[in-house]
Amino acid sequence: MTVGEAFLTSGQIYVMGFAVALGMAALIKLICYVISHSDAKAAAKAAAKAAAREGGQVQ
Amino acid sequence: MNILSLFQGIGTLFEQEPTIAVGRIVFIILGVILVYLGFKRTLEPLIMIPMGFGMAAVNAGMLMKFVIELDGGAEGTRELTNIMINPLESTTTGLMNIMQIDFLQPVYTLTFSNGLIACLVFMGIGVISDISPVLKYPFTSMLIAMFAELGTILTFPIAIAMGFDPGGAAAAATIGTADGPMVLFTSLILDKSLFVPITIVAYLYLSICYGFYPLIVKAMVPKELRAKTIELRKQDSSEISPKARIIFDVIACAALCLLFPVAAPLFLSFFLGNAIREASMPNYQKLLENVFLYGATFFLGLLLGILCDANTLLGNPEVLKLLILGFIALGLAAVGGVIGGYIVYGINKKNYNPAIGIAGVSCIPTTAKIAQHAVSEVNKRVIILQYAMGASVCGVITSAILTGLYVTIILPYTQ
Repeated sequence: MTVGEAFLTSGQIYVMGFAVALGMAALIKLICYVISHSDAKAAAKAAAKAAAREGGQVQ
Repeated sequence: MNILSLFQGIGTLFEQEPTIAVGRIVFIILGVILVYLGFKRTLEPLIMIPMGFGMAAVNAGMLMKFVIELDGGAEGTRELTNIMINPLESTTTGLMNIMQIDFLQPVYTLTFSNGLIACLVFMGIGVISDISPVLKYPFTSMLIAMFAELGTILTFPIAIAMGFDPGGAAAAATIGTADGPMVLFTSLILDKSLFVPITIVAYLYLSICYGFYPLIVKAMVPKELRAKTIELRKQDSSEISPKARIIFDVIACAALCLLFPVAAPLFLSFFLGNAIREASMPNYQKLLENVFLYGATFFLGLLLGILCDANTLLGNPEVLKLLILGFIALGLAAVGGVIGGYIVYGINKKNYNPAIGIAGVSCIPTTAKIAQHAVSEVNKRVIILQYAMGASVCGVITSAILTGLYVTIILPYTQ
């Protein structure tokens, strides 16, 4: 392998590494978004249930 | 009776080549110095104290061993060796014989030369790493970590220019990842002949990072920027739940193993260690942190010291080149990391501290501590540790990604 080829290879590795790293960052954002939404949904459901129970008791 | 054959450690000094004999004496002194510097906490004591002992003992304890060839008659040959380890033996019969004599050979053959010890260290690193900062600031942390890989990228063509073959050059380039287990793993796969000197150079330099990295930060980041406070944003106050962290661990592990099967043992070890932390399993946590991590680090230090045998190292002409390449790789990694810090400073409209960039070098948690220390020196009220830990953990991930890429792309050149 010549020095020029080595430069090209390491450049190629860097670009691919950068793409994978940014892909990982996007994956993290997606996971956090999905989890926070599902947690918020579950919390809202639980609150609605509690409110319904409380309303039933008052009636 | 000849007094020199009675005290063989001294006697062998007169029987071998003068350069090797002088090298042995230098290594004995160096071993003593390493133990002292470890004791004084100038160098990392966890590695340096066992390493210094190993280095001094192996170079002092050389002897003449009679080797009798089983099919060669009764006459044997005299061989200058030690009875601790023989890293160059590769035949099955030879290994079986040596394992019954050299007391550290079983540890070396069954954990060191197959990369198990690197994976045990990685499990321990996983268990001590808090990935919350990574999940809070994924893009800035990954960006800084990728810039800190400058050493890993630029050292490869430099090593080729210095006459290394692609396997050796790639293994030397991974010193720039600043991740000992990664260097060990890559050199085992890509160039077994350089495995011993590359690993020794990497660990030696990694332990002195603590000394020269703060100088690079001070040289590249002026006082007023180091003293900069980061204004809190929305994501700073958000909590990352353990559920999100463990889901990230398992998905990231599977995705990275899918992309780079050659580095799968490292990904598995790191993310499994971290998942055990997130799943709150105290017994497993104690096992990985107190037994695996410290046990593996102890044997790693001891074996590295014992591998610093003047006979093996001085006979290898590549050692000097590796010393130069290691310095270049780690220096460029630090410079790249700080440049990454400046780029994030620009992207975040000056609401960032560029000194955090050094933490992108994945020597976790050393570089994160260096970043915090450099900042605290000029402004004690600025706390940047959570940002620095994010960059440092991402450094481990990007190092594993680049290792996977190097191994996948360069492996065909070595066969």
